[in-house]
Amino acid sequence: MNTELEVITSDEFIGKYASVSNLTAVYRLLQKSDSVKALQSAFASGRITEAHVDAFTRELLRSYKTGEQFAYSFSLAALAVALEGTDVHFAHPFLKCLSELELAEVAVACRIAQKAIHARHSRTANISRVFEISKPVHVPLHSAVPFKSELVENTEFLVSV
Amino acid sequence: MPKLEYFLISESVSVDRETNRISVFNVIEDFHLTGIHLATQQPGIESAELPPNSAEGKSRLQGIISGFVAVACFNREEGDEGRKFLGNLTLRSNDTVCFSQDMPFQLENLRNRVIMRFVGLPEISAGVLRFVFNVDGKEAASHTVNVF
Repeated sequence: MNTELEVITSDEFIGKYASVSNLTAVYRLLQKSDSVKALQSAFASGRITEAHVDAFTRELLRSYKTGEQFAYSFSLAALAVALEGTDVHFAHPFLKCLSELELAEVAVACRIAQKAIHARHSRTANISRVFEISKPVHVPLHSAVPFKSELVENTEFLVSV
Repeated sequence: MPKLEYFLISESVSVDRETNRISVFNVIEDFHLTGIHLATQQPGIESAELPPNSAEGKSRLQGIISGFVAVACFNREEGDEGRKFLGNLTLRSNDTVCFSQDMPFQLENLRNRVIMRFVGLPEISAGVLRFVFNVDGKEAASHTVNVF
């Protein structure tokens, strides 16, 4: 297992977030986390690939038990936040799958993944302003344009456009 | 320094509120000055002289636009966060500056679109019209249009 991935499964890492009840606070803390930033660098450099992520999640899910809080929910949440800010091809499918899970045991990871997807959609900022050029063009749209009606022969209309 | 992804001049743009995707409509590639001049500089001209159904009338009418939009998309580079940049759009009609507008901006996200909407048109003459987008005084991108 990669060192960066190993860090987010440690008791020390999970313990930091387990006591935070507000999901938005967890999300923001994860965004600022050095471990998550290290993961992002690893994704960007290609040290962690899709195969690594696949093997990692499979390994974690081996400890999944129905009716019990999933021990590595915060690890999956950290992975989701790390993938949010990267352009790797498997980021969106991973986040989509995680966000669509309807399992109470991994609720934190699911909801963090939903936040990550939302953030990815609004990653592009729009900085917009309107300017008026001092001498605008005045197109005479109100001028009368005579033309023949094709429906009624020998009849002319004056139409204001 | 931010890295430019694209720069375009069009008649209008639309950003989808739900998906934040941008659509650029009617990219401006040429201006038909005769149409603009007939419509603006000779307001007394009778419309009968510019039949809308004739080929000539159609080509002239295609040149009539009431404004334009400049879109520049930048990717934030290291060290750009929190920095203020001075954007500037300059129009050069045959290498003569005919219009200039500043627009300060900050790169809040990894990818940022700077959208400048203009109502009206500056005075231009036949030849080559260059829309130049400068960032902190350096040319970042340009879009050239032929004026007939």
